[in-house]
Amino acid sequence: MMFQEGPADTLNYMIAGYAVILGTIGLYIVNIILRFRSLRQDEALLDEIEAGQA
Amino acid sequence: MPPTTDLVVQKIETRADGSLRAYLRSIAAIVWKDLAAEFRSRELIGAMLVFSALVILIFNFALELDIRTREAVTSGVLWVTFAFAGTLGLNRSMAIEKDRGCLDGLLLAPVDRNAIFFGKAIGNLFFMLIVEAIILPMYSVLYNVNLFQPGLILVILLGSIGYTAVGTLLASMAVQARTRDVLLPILLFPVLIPLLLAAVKASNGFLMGFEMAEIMPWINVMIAYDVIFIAVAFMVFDFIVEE
Amino acid sequence: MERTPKALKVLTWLTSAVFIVALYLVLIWAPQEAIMGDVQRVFYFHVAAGWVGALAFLVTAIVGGIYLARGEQRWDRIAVASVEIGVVFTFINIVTGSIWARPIWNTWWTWDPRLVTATIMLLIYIAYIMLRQGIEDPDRRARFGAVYGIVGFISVPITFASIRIFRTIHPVVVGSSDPTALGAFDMNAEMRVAFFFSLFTFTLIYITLLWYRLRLQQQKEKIEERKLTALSS
Repeated sequence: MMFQEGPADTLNYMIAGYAVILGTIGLYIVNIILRFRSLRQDEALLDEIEAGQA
Repeated sequence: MPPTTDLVVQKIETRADGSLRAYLRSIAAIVWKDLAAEFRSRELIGAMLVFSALVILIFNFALELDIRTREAVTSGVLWVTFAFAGTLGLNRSMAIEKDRGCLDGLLLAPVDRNAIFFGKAIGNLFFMLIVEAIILPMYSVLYNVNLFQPGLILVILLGSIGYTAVGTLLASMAVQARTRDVLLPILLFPVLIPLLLAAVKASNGFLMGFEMAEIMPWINVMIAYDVIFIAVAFMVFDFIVEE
Repeated sequence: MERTPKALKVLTWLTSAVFIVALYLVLIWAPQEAIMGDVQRVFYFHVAAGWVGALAFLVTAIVGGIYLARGEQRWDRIAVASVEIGVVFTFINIVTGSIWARPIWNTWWTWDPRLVTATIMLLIYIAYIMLRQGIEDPDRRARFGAVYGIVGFISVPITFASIRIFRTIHPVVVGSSDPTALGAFDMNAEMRVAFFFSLFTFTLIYITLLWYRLRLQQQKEKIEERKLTALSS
């Protein structure tokens, strides 16, 4: 690596790196959205129960 | 005035005038309680010793401890053994307090919360030192290495102090969790890494006869670690037992 | 369920826009590094992710201390939210570092102080999350989390210092530079712009995610309370 001319061809590693960055952040965002959604379902269920009791 | 109230008043008074002395006395009382209980049952040190012996035997097969590798890995084997045996002891010592309701009793007693921490930590330190005092000659005999060097003893002492300070703090949290037996090593080992690293390096230095200049940085790391974490534990322990 | 506040919506759009600009700066605008080639572009987000990880754990330790002093629930919520984000970004930091190291150091992994410290830090905060999961009583969970968050954070620099006593081959790009470190390079002006813009972008991402994660936590607590009352009635 030290003695070659011009930059090394490391494009694939760069793509892998950015895939990991975007993929991980994306997964985390999806995870948060899913947790929000399941909360909303719980909330709807609670609303129903409370309406049934009243 | 009934005699019990009298006693309590007296205790509060002694705390007021000689507070440091009362503090030390309550630490001593807790240490004494642990040692006396252990002396009667012998379950903690016994388990730690058998476990340590087994770990050393397993290392013998796993590493093929012939004479040359032995010198290079002795310090590592010793510290891994101490670290694992230590978690066994810590878990047990805190679990006993929790399960028998002793912790609640201690909390009701008119002693400083910190005194409980230091009492438990010094008790655990004693157990660890006893186990180490038995393991060292055993290892020396089994593998024909002389481990009785003042430098190495100092390293073991410094390492054990830091280990029990952090260990007692984290074990008193771990025993209050649902997953307590698996939780303690997971909480403890990542925080212990600098101490264990320095202990292994310093022990190795003494065993291989390195110059003091090479060993001193590691000793300093251990001293710094001990001081910092004893101070931190002192400050936060109240919040762990607060109820 | 409450609507997302307007400020948060604006922040989300702003962060997304800034992120796209950062991607452009880093992938296209910044010049290719002369020796390492394109993989050097990983460096910008790699450092930024590491910065967010450290920042998140610092925030956890600080709000943990405030929680212990004041005992107010909201500080503990910040701690939970921040730890999770910190774990995600520290993970990104370690994996991208490893990907960069493969062509440059010719190995996926070396036992260099920064790599090891980052990994130990990740393990500490995974342990933090496991500790919290093991405790049911919310008040105790918060106190133990705060204590472990402080103890863990203090141990990180000591870990780094003690591993540092071994020799390091990790390049120090910002600050003092050791030209013998393999993979070290000098940033030119454009690279520096891309670098600092990445730091800024990731800080914005951190704030945005923290805000969402905090709201998630608040709503979760509310629903749990309602579940309890529904069960008891």
